Parts: sequence; structure tokens; C-alpha cells
Amino acid sequence: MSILTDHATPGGPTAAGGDDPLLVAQGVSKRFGATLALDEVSVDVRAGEIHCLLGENGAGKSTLGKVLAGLVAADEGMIRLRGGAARIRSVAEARELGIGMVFQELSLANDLTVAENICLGTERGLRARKARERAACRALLDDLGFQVDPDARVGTLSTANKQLVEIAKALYRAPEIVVLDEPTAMLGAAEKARLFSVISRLKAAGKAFVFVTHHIEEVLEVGDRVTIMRDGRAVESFPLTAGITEALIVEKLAGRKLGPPAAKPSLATGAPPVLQVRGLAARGDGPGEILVRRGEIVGLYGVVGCGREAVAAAVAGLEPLSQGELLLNDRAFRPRTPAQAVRAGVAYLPAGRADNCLLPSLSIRENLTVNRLQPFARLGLLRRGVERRHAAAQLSALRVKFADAELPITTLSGGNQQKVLLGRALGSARHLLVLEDPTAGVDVGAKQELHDVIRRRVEAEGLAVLLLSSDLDETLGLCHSVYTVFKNSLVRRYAPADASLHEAVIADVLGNAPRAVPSVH
Amino acid sequence: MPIELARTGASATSGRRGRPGLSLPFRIEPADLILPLFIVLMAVVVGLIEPRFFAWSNILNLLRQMVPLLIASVGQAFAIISGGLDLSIAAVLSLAGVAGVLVMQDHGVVAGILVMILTGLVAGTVSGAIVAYLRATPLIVTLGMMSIAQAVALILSGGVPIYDVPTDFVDAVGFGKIAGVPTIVVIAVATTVVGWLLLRKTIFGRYVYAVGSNRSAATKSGINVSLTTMLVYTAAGTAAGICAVVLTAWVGAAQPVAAPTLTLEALAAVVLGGVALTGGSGGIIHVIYGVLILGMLSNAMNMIGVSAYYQTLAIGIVIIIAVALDRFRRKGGS
Repeated sequence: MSILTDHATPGGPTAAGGDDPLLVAQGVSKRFGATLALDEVSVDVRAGEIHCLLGENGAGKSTLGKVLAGLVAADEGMIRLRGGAARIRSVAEARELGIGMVFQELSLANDLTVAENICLGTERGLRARKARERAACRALLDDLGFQVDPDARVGTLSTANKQLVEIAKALYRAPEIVVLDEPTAMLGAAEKARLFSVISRLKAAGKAFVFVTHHIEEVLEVGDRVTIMRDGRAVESFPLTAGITEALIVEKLAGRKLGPPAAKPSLATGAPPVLQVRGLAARGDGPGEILVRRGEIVGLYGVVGCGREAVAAAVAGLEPLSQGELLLNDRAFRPRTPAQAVRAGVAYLPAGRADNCLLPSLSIRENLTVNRLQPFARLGLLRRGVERRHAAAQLSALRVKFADAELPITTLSGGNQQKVLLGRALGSARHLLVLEDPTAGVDVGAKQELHDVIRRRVEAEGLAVLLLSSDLDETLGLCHSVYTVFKNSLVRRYAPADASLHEAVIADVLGNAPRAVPSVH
Repeated sequence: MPIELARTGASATSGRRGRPGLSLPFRIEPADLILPLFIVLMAVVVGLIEPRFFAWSNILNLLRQMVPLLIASVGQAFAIISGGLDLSIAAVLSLAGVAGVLVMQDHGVVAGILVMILTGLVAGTVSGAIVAYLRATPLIVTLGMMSIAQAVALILSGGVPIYDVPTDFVDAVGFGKIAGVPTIVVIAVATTVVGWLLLRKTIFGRYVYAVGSNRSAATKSGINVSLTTMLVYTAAGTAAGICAVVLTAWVGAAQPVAAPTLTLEALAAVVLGGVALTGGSGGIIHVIYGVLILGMLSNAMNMIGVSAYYQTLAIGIVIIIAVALDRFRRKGGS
């Protein structure tokens, strides 16, 4: 089965522009409590078009995507589909109308297999047609070029692979219009390229895409048109013709000029090592160990499934290394639980904000302080006044935008939640901080603020940081040195790291034959 | 590449603007007032139907009746807030009562009381250790503990109630008063206050909420989740032990199958009061709401003369309503 030939739009592929739009949203408004998330927004999407919704966190782009996909009901406004008025009151109704959505927060059942998840909700009749479903899923995954086993349990997959399953799940239903909500947030460079080629193929077959993102380079790469959103309003909408540049979009997006990127803190040479990971496999003449010095940010970069997560898990105390050993401040380090790692001064900010970081029913303050309550306690009793004052000071240092620290953390935007969680991790990071995708799904402004907070701590207190980010630009921009990883082996160490290494790093992590790249040691 | 924007300090530091009405030092939402209003309304209605309801003797009686449920519910609340539950409360209470009274006969009242509390504490800790360190489901583990505790209680007592309870104990605890308030009510209030202190004022309490809110996040931020989980069941078991002290003193006997519906009633009271079954939210005030509603319902039915069978039926309906309310509350909240 090929998703390219099935269910193509009647009338075949159409060129972007010219004919009537497939989907039109007019004057859509949505209020959440005191916040006006959407303020009379109008957009349209044509068949064979990728329409990007670009904006910072809280701009309303995700909410608009959810309205189109039936997940959120609009308070006002109307939606027209193929020229006629459409009522979309649920995800199921949207699906009937040919609208599918790839959710930013994954909507998968961890205990079911990949194939069962992809087919979930499309079963007909009473009998489960397992063999047929599996075959269809395998064909779909092969067609998309996603290397995911249809029989694997989703719970055992990495976050990036879950994201790919989520995308496959939406496409399995053969929608004509696909809403993609930050689909690349968890993907590495290679998976992202894979996804974009799939989208381009589907577009050529006449499908329409609403692509919600805050990455300008993604808009320029795949978009046909872009609608820029700010504070719940669609500010401007224009086709992405040759004259449109990144700088132009940034200006329109932010309503202000681009500032210079922050300089990397200088690294004192010969600083004592904080973390050493020894005895790892090396590819070719690659390094056999990872070294993180005091005051140094070290990146570990590789595609999904390359094994770099195992290093982070071992350092954080989740699972010991199958090969190799850890040294913390020159002494053997074998934490069996994250609590032991924290006691040794190693903090961990895992990827997957909702699954692994947030305490959703607790307040902003409680989320911030939960891992270091001892300073606020006397004789086992918490002194809430001290805790409150401390939390308030921390939150303002982290530049968290909040109304009241006693409100649930879920009232914050994604970027501000992430600032609180970074603050939590920093609170117990005496020697080393392990960061996994610290800025995933966060807007450009919050991203820079998060980077600033990390840099400040590194510079001021000599904190050592091990960074595992899917974002290569972030890795190269933030780290002093970067190790590349391919199939559980270290390929190369780059120091100092800078943006010029982009292509060399990509070649390393895709397993290209070792080339004569001058690696600076 | 994602472009980084220069941020001006102004937009970042002005976080407190734009959300009118949320600057109160504490939060009162209309939803928080529903249950207290319902309780007042219920009292008024019952009082109109049966004026004796407001007689001082009946109010004392009502308070006494609510004591076992309140203590058991405080214990149950620890388990539920941590994201689990304890089905062994009534059985552990029976075992603690039987063991304590047997010890009391030979070694005195104080030793007996200590044995009751210790029995609860140990049984709870055993359940908790299995749940925490073997990663077993609390439903099954506490169901197993229920069976074991019940069996040992029947074996120790020979299957018959032990009426040979020292009169000192019955007089002092069961029918005694401290400053005009029945001793058992004082014990219940003290247990409730300690429960509130533990949950809201200690590091342990904060961890209980964190574990119930998101176990994985709690683990990964360095909280000792296993120890916290174990201690939660220690607390629930200890509450069952305290409950045994109160019940044996008041009844003047150790029943091998004491208060068999108490476990479920405690579960119902906790959920009815507004503690989410999914864990991580709610508190002792909600437990009190739930206990007041169930206690008043039972007291009113007794006064009006509803038969025990219909009372059980009513409790069952209330339990199901409580769970349905729990669902609605979270739907409305999200």
C-alpha cells in the first residue's frame, strides 16, 4: 500500500495557488479563562500546499491547529471545507472530514505495539485483523522510510521514534489535510530530513499541510506560505517567494531587530576533570572516552538510537553502562538511582517534559523546589515563608513569566515551564548537570533565556554540563566541545565547537566513512 | 537554524501583569465551596426532617460514629495522594485489635495499645516495601495483605470475638472524656492533625504529592521514590492500628472481622471529599469533607430508621457517585 496513491484528492494534484482553498477558517476566536488564545484569526489552506503557522510560544498557533483538528472547540468563527460550512466538534469528526493531526504531546498508548497504535480507532467490526494491520503498518513505515519495528511496544521506543509513530498514525488514516504541531521538536537532523521529504512527496500528491512551528529555517525549507502569529492574532500572511529571507521573517515575527548571539564563556584550559566516561567503544581512531571539565559544556551528538542516551542514563543513575565506567571528580561513580546521583551533586533534566519532568498537579513553587527542600526545613518541618522567598528570587532570576507562584505549573507556557524545570535541575547541580533537549518545543526568546541561564551558571560557578540535544545548532552554539556518536561508538571529538562544523558532524553521525576532516584537538 | 531573538529585560520582568484577580494571598475558587455548602445544606435538611439531629447528645454521637472512618480515611488519603490505594485497612485493623487485646490481657493496657499501633505499622510497612521495592501493584499487594491479616486475626482469635478487654481501657479510652470531649474524638482529631502536618508541612509530605503527581518526574529529579512509597503505606497501616485502639475500646471487644466495610468507606470518603484517585492532589480538608458527608448520611439514616441493608445500598451508591464526581471534577478542571 502506498499512501501516495491512495485517497488522492479528487481531480489530482493541484498547484499551490490559483484555485479555491480546501479549508478556510474565518474569524476564529478562542478564550481560555482570562487569556484570549485566538483573536479573530483567519487562515486558508489549498490542496498541494504547505501552510506554515509561525509564532513564539503562546502566540496561538497550536491552538489554531487544534481547532482545525477538532481537539479544541472555537468560541467564535467558522470553518469552511471544500467550499461548504463544516462543523468540527471532535477529533473523530475531523477525521471523517479528512483532517488529521500529529500532536505535539504524543497521543500513543505505551503498552500497545507500534502497529496497534497506528491502527487504533480505525478497526472495523469485532474481529481484530492483526495480520492485515501489521502488513499495512509495515508497508506504511517502509514507504515513509521510518525505521521502526511495527511489533515493538511503543513504551520501549525513544521519544524521537514515538514522534515518528505519531506521524505514521496520522498518515495511516489517509487524510487530505494534515495538521502538524511542532513535529520536529524531538527529531534529530536525519529524522527531520526524512520527515520533510515525506511531506514534500505527499504535497506533490495533492495533500494539504498546516505546519505549526517556531523554527524559521523549517518554514523556509518546506513551506509554500506562512502565516505569522503573535499574541493570538494572525499578523501577516504571505507566500514564501525567493525574496523572503530569515532576517525578514524574524523581524515580522518579533516586531524587533535581531540581537547578536551571546558569546560563549571562555574555557579555562587545564580545568580539573569533573566527569570522565571511560572504556567506550570508538569508531576507527575515535576517542575512547568522554571528558567534561569544570566550567565546560560538552555536547554528545548523534541520531536517534545511536546510544548516546545510555551515557546520560548512566550518569543520571537510571541504568548502569553496559560497557565502560564513570569517574566523577576522579573517583569511580556508579549511581544506582537518580537520588544517589543527586546526592553526589549530579542533576539531570530529562527529555519529555510531560512524561519525565512536570509534576502537573503541583504549583510552580513546588515544582521548582521539590528536589532541595532541606534548606527550608527545620526539625523536619518546612518553613514555607523561607521557601516562598527563595522560590520568588529564583523565578525572577530564571526570568519566568508567571502570575502567581502558587498556581499549578500547567498554567505556564511551555518555555516558562522549561525555565522552572531547568531551575529545579540547577538547584541540585553541584558538580555536573546532564541536559537532554533542554529547549525542545520552546520559542526563540525563551530558548535564548534558557541558554543564558546555563551559561551564567557555568561561568560563575564552574558547573560542568553534559548536553544531549537533537538540535545541532544548539549543540554547536552552546558547547565548548562536541563528541559525535554513531552506533554506540564515539566517532570524533571537536574542540572548540562552532557552527562551521555543521557538515562534518552530520557526516559523522550518519556513519559516513571517516574522511580527512581536520579534527581540532 | 532557529534564530535567537534579543530579549529586552522589560518584557521578562513584568510577569505579574495581565492576570487580574489572581493576586490574592490564597486562592478561593467556586469549586472549593461546593462541598462545604453541600454539607451545611445536608445538615439543615436532615435537621428539618428530624429535629433531634441537632441535639447535643446526637452531635456527640455523630462525632463518635465518625471517629473510625476519619482515622481510616486519613490513612487511605496518604495512599491515594501517592497514586496508590490501601485495601487492607479493615483487615489490618482486625488483626491489630485481636493481637493488642491478647497482649493487653497479660501485659497491661499500655503494652496492648503499643502492640495495636505497631501491628498496623509493621503490616503497612511490609505492604509498602513490596509495593515500593518490588514495583508491585498496590491493588494486588494490599489485597494480599488484606487476606493475610484477616486470616491471622481469625487464627489468633479462634474465629470468635474476644470480649475479655480490660475495663480500665474501655472506661478510659472508649467512654472517657478529656475536657468534655470523648477521648476517641480527641484521638481522631490528633491523628488528623498529625496527618495534615505530615502531608503539608514536611519534606516527606511534599514527596508524597510529587510521587503521586508524576512518578517518573519525581524519580528523575532525585527524590527517593521507593522510600516515600513505602512510608506512605506505613502511614496507612499505622492509621489502621490507631483505628483498632479506638474501636476495641469503644466496642469493648476485639472482633476478628471488625468493620469490614471500613476500607471501602474510607476510599469513598477520600474520593468524595475531592482527593483525585489519580494522585498528587487533595488534602486532609477534603478527607474531612468526605467523612462528614458519609458520617451524616449514616447518622441520619439510623435516626430515620433505615434498615442496615438499605444503608449498605446507599453507601454503595454514594461510592459510585464519588467516583463519577471525581471524573467530572477533572474534566471540568482541564
